[in-house]
Amino acid sequence: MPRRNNRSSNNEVRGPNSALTAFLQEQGINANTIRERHLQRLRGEEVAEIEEEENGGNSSGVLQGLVADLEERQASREELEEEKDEDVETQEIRIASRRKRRAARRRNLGDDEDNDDLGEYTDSDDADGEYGNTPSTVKRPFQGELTNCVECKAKFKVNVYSKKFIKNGKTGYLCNDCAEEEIRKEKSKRKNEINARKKRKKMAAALLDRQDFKIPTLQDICIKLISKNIDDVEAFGDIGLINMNKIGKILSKNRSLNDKTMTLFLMSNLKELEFWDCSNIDSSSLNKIAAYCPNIEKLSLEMCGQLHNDNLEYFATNLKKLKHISLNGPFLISDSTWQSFFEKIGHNLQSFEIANTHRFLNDSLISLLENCGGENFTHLKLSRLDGLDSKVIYELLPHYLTNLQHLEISYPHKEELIDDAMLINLLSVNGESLEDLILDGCSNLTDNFLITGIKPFCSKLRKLSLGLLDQVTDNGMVQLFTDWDINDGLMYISFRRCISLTDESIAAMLKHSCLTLIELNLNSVNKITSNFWNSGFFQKNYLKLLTVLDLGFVRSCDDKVIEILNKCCPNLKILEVYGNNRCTSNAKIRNGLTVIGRQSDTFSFFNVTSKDEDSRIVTLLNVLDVNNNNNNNNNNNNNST
Amino acid sequence: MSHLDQEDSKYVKLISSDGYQFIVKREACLISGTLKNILNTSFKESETNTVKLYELDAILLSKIIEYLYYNLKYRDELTNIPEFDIPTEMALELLVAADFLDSKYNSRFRQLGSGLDALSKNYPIWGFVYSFSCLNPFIP
Repeated sequence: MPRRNNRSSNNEVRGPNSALTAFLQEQGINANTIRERHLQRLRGEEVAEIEEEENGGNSSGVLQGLVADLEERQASREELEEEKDEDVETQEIRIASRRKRRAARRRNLGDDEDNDDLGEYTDSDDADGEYGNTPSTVKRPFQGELTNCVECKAKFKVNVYSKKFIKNGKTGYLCNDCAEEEIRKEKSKRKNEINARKKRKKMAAALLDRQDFKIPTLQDICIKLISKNIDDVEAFGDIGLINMNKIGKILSKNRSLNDKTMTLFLMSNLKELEFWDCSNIDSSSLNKIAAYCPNIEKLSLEMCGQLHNDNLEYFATNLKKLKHISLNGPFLISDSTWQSFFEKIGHNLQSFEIANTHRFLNDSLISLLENCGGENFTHLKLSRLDGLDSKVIYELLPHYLTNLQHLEISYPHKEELIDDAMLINLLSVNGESLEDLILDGCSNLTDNFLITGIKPFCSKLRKLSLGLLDQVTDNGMVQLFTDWDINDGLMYISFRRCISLTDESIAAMLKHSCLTLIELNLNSVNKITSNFWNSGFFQKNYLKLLTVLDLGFVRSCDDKVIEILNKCCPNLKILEVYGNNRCTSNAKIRNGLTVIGRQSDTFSFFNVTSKDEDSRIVTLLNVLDVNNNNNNNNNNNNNST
Repeated sequence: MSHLDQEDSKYVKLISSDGYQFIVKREACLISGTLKNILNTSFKESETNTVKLYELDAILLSKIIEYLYYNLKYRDELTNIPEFDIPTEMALELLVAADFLDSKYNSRFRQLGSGLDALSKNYPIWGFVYSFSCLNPFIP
């Protein structure tokens, strides 16, 4: 039944609308109707009916409020006239009390969402509505009149502040002591409620951060304190590499890793250095890394948008022992600098990882291959490099690289750049040593490379990530994993958004790797049916080592599936079920297993903070957004710009 | 301190580098991985229930004991855990000390290791899993 008030139907011209607004309008939900409903509830149905008759049935919420107000004011005037002979003092008290009540009610009507200020006690909800509108139930005794307390039956004098109370259906007033007791009870009840909400809120927040909700360790407390006061720290001293890395990560997360704080990490004997957010470190400070720590073997700089040509050249001359370098977002480094860098330092280099720059060109890669290629070079990562736009260059890889252990080629500039033939070629040379293979976003790859590339060559493979390969089908997967005897089993697998895969592929994969599998990502493989989860495979503990499982947007996953996984994976610690709306809090899970992404977890948290339907929906949308980001996080390295 | 002589005494004596003695509940001491290991071996420390901590002075040790009791009191609570107060100037020293006393990293490794241990017994072929432990996200 669509309910529309006059105003909205008269208004023909409107600005742009959100989908939500349009939906709410269609359903006839607006602020007025909500207020009206609330008003009716407040005054009791009887009165509402009478008033509707009087007003011809079309009274809006605002009007009703006005009418009520007027009535009350009139009544008070009459009363005042009657009580002229009473002494002035009591009158004043009376007026004050009425004003207070009216104000309380207005607050109640006006912004009924204002439930948050619970600490304050108002007596509006108990006395006032009934007193104003239904005088028949209980008449408020006069000032100073003697009455019996409903609670303790003692006689006492009623005053303005006496509290109305309903006990066993009998309405009456409380004596001072009982009223205090009652208020205390209510306060503690509210306090408990608030605490429970806080707890739920904290737990929901911790859940999204994938944290257990536990008492912090002394180390963590110290690290937090140090990070907070990092500007006052002069030197770390002997705090250990693990703690230093932890502090580094926290500083990066807080975006407080800057020219000053970064120097704390530089020590002459340092061999490994990781900075997760270099965006606040300027070029001259980056030079300090090479100046202060000449012994660095492994250097990893994320978001290094300020890394200049000069810096990289300085690194090349000063860091004689550099073997591993990983850079994310070094978009100021030009093609010629890359070439001279590889010429100078290439013979030492064992691993090179680069992502997110458009200035790493075809010639840069050729220089890398010519100077570094060979037996020693084991790690290569090329991710999101828009400068590499020649298929021929990619086809050079197998000619130079023969001993790769870790290979990541992800999100190429165009999907045609990486095809089956090139990859099969590369795997035939490197397959024997290859342990990690990450090919996210190379969506031109098909079943062929699985069957003739991975299956015959990759005997040592432990990690396989094929995110977004939509052309890979059941046929290829089943052939790959059936009788793949040269491989003892994979430990990390990601089939994220391989949308063509169905039950068959996953079953074949599990049959092959179930005993070794530690992490599995099946996000958005939405053709998995509920029959799959009910198969006999999940009745036994085959998935002994599985610790992290992502089933986001696999719609067949429901409470029952969670319970099955809970039983059959004894080591499972994190289970993600974003977007599966049939996963609720009803599923029984053991201690130690964290289920992330259920609506029920977040909704209990919405009920606390959101104020009406709209904001609840908006919050939900925000959370879904967060989820999406989470899902993309692994591969979607943040660009530093 | 005659009651400290009994092997299953409820209390343990911790001695700081500058000679101060602290009598602490055994239950609280067991929160620290290092102290737990020391007290559960067959060395002199576990017989006399006395541990000399040459690395820590009294001020640091008293703060650590304060934390142990704090942990003991609040570890099962979910809300209303008060902040543990540390003087800022002590933070770095305390971090080193905490690192020494809490072999949390080891115990985590052991937890996962034991799972693998059981596996490798049943399936000898999975012995290689050890060599790949560096890939495991749960081992820092």
